[in-house]
Amino acid sequence: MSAFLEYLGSYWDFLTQRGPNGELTFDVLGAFWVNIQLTFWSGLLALLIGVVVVAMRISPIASLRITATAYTNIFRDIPLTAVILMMWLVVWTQLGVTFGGKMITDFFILAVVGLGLYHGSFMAEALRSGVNTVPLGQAEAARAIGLTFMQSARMIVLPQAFRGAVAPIGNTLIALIKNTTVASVGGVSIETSSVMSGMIEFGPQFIFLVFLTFALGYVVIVIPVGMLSTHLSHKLAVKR
Amino acid sequence: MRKKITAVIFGSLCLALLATACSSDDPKSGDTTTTTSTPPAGPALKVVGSPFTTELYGVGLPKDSPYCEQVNTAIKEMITDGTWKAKLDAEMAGVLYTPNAEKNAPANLANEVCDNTGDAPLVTAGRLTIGIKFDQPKLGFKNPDGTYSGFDVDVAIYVAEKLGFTADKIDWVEATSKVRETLLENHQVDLIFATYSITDARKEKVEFAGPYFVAGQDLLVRGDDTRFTGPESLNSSDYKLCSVTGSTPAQKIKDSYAKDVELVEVTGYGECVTALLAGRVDAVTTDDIILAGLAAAGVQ
Repeated sequence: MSAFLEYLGSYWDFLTQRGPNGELTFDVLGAFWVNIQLTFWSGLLALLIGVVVVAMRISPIASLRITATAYTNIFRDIPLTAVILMMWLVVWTQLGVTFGGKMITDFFILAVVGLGLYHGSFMAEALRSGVNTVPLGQAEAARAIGLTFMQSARMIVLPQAFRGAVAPIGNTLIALIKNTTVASVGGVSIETSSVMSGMIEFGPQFIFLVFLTFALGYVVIVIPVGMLSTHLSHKLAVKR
Repeated sequence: MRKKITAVIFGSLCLALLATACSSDDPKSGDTTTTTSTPPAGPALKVVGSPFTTELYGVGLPKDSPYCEQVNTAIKEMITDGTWKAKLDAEMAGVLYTPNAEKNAPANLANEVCDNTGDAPLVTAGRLTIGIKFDQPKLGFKNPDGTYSGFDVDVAIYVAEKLGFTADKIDWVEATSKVRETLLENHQVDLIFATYSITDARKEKVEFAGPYFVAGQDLLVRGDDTRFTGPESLNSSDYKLCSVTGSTPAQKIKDSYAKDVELVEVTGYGECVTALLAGRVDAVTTDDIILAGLAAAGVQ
């Protein structure tokens, strides 16, 4: 028992050790914060893409519908690692795209774009499932009182669709939170999976505790999101 | 209408396939790694040649392995009968790199004390299971035809022979940096020759024989680049340096040598070389012999 406590104690020292410049060698909390920021911005982008794509998808114009379907199918079918790697290897390395400032900012933005594009297709599908919960009569009634497509989408269909799609959006968000770790492939070396790699490299004797630390961190982040989405999906559902 | 939609779905499927095909050019994702991804006619790369750390490459063994002493003896023999130097020269032929002869003097090699010994059985009876890197050209590399080559492999074959296993009695297993201790502890491999630096933290989990090579952290730059002479010359926020996420070299240079340099960390050295050749980073850092291997792969 005391040996185990000693082991835990040495892990704690390992966790809190500082480099010569005074900063933490393994900034675990900072790393989680990076993932949360990645989640926030790419989630926002994905939601934006999702709304636009689903509006295109239910529009009366065939070319828009076809484009939206194509987008959804393309980005849903490419592995996320490949998307992020393309952002790094093709967009940053070969095309030389830069946003000014530090490279890590470039990588962050490119990772957000990659994550957003990928999860945008899932958001669109989540919202489309919400649209399917809106009875056809709603759209017909909107047309009957003379609303245009945009008006009926904006005022009648999409608001109800959103309320019906809370649970699938929550699922997509949870997947996104965990998928932000793939950003390490795109050079975002300050996020959790990269910090974890470093910890395993320098503390191979703590390998299980390191895994446990990060697994626990994600559980702590994901559970409230899951509970909130379940709660909201009950609360916001349109009673029919 | 239906036809149109089918066409679109097929179209997007093709695009998706195309995109995945593009991404499989990435050095990490296939078995045939690194060498194929670097443009053959690109500017040559060179190792700067002023190593600033000392990395002792040891042979990893499980703590209850009976082979530690025998491996040390075999490495000593390999050095005295000249095979060691011949193999190293053959692997590094045509590269602008000479291993540090002072550090690689025979007295510095194979002097690791074997603290633990046991009678653990082999992973596969009658065969030797050896963990190597699959993606480090000239060190531990899986060739497209399924054979293995590199200096780590040469040493492993020599040592295996001294232990009584001919080359056809060896099973090669990929041992990436992160899983090396786990592979040994779980007895999934008998020996590891995978640019495995001897450190105290690792000694807590595994036994080391060797070292069979003394490497040092160095810089890889473009062949026509004369700006860099050593780690301190990188210490400017104008310069960009590439290394692998969570690796010792990346941490070391950040802590000790070039605080101001902008560090790019990616998943593999192949990506770093691609970025170096594309002019997006100024240097790549890790152990000199690994860099020499990458440079050799870039030249081919």
